[in-house]
Amino acid sequence: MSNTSENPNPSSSSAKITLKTSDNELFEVEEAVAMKFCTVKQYFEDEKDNDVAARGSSTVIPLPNVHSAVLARLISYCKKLPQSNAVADNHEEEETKKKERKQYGTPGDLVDLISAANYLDFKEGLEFFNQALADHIQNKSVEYVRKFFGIKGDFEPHEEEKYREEYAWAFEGVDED
Amino acid sequence: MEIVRRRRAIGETMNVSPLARKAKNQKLNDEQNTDRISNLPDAILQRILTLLETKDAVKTSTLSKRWQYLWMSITDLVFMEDGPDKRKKRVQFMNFVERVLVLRESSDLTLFVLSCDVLNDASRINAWISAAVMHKVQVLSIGLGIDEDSRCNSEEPIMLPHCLFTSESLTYLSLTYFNLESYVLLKIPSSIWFSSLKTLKIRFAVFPDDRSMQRLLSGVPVLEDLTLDACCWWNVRSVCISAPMLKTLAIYETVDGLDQDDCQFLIFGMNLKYFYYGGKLKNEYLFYKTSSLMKAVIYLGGKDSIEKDKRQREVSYRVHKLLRGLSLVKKLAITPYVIEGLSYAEELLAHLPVFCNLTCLKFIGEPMNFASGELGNIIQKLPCLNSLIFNVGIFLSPYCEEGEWKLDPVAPCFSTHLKSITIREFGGTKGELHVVNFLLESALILERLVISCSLDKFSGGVGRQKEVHDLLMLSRRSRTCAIEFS
Repeated sequence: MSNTSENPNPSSSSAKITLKTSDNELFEVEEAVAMKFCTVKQYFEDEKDNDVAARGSSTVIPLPNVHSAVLARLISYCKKLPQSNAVADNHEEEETKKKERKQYGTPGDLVDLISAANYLDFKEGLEFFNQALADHIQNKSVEYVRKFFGIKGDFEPHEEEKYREEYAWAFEGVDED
Repeated sequence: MEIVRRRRAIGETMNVSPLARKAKNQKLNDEQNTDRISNLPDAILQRILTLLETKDAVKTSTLSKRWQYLWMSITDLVFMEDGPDKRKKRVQFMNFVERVLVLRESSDLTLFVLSCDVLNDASRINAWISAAVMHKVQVLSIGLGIDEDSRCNSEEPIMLPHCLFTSESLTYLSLTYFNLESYVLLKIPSSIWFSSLKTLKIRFAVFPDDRSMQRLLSGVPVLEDLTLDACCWWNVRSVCISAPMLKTLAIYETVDGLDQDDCQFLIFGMNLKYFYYGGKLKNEYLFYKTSSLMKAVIYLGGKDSIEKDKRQREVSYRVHKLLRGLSLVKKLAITPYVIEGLSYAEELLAHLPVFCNLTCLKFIGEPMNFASGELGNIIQKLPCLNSLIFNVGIFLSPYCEEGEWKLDPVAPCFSTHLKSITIREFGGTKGELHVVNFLLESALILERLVISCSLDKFSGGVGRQKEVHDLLMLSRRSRTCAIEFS
């Protein structure tokens, strides 16, 4: 629950930006990392334009929609970006990427990361976490997906049966849960 | 003003955020496993559905009423008929594709992937492809399985819809015909104009004649990437590839025994940067105006069949023509057989071009036999060679007396340019060590020798690696050269 993933080395020469999360934790983040979040970037540039924060690093940007635990994971993801951003052009690489995506385990975590990436307008991250979530639906049975994400089915049995008949081909050959 | 507004904008959504709720009720949520995914905005859920194969996207309509219609806005459609009992499920599959195409919202398609057998349904499948083209699809990948049944019934070769060949929206087209018994004739309509097509890949097709092939290649004004994979050229005498924007060209010949190809490729590429070739040189490749070429890969194989068909001299002449066309490349990767192939016609060796830009030469596909005398002659023609890579190891034939062997003549680049040598799948045999010793003695300004050992070939483990390393350090002529094992 703390900002452990940020760079603890204060002597690093690159400029820092301070982000404040919904639970009032302060994160000092390298500018290059923070600028990946378009919402922060926009805010930062507006501040600059208005010349309010000529002292630069002392600006604190509030992110009332992002919890510290989520921000910490987003930042640590950002730092790994250069490697994981390469286009997967063969099967092996795709498998590696899949494993990488699996680390963002529980459904709740993924939803948080997706919401936060969406709010921060962090496109690469959003795409990555969307794919991580899609991995839990691809080739799975409806029952598995419901259970995994805690979705309550609210169709009448006959309605659901109708769907299963109409799209019969889609319902066959799923992976074991 | 702007800041205030933005600050408020950032704050405003706070109350509706599921995250804010989470902060308060985290424990509760974790215990109950509540459905939070369904609270994500439609746009995000639709994006996630687009990442799925279509059958999985459609299946989510039964999760709950929240999900019922979400899939209908997907812009990528992927239909793959597969599995051992696909014949039994054929009717279901056909109905599924049709239902999805009808029910999906009428927005434009980004991607359409279809892989299925044609059987007796050529007209229905064509209608799907037409529908995708009408929805301005940008990326289209079609794999059609064509068996004897589907051909007997139609008598005619499969004809793809005409509208496909005049699509303005297509940027990527991949067309594959699957047929285990024979190859399928690709019928090309009389009018072709792909005004946006950048990538074209055609696999396992038989091109009908010179004119239709030429028609296809004149209808792709902005093509950048062309792959012709395992296509048959026995009806075609000559092909002129001259797309002005073409950057990457890959031609892989058929691998089976159908050796009736004998086609001449004339390749004009003002902007061509990468050329990949794989096959037995059943066809001839001539290059014109390709001074922009940066990198070429020649995967020449099929030694046994070339020798069986007594095509050695033909292959030798074709390798020679190919290399002449590639003489300005910076990076070249070849199979060792390219060098052996050259030796079939010794009179050509003297006429090999000088590769004045070549800085990196890589041997791929099989281990390099240093006993073959031609290697020395080739390296002689590479005055700027900086980096030499043996991807699949090296060896010295046992009949070559190890003590006597040396690379003859030693090329000038060994004393002026060669800075890095990499040997992968090193086995550490006496012959290999002899070669490495020789390379270290001859390369006067070498900076780096990287050796990665093959686990199944190299015996003796890390201890022996150290021993070999120390031994090699003694034979360095370049005192600053680092030797790395991995």
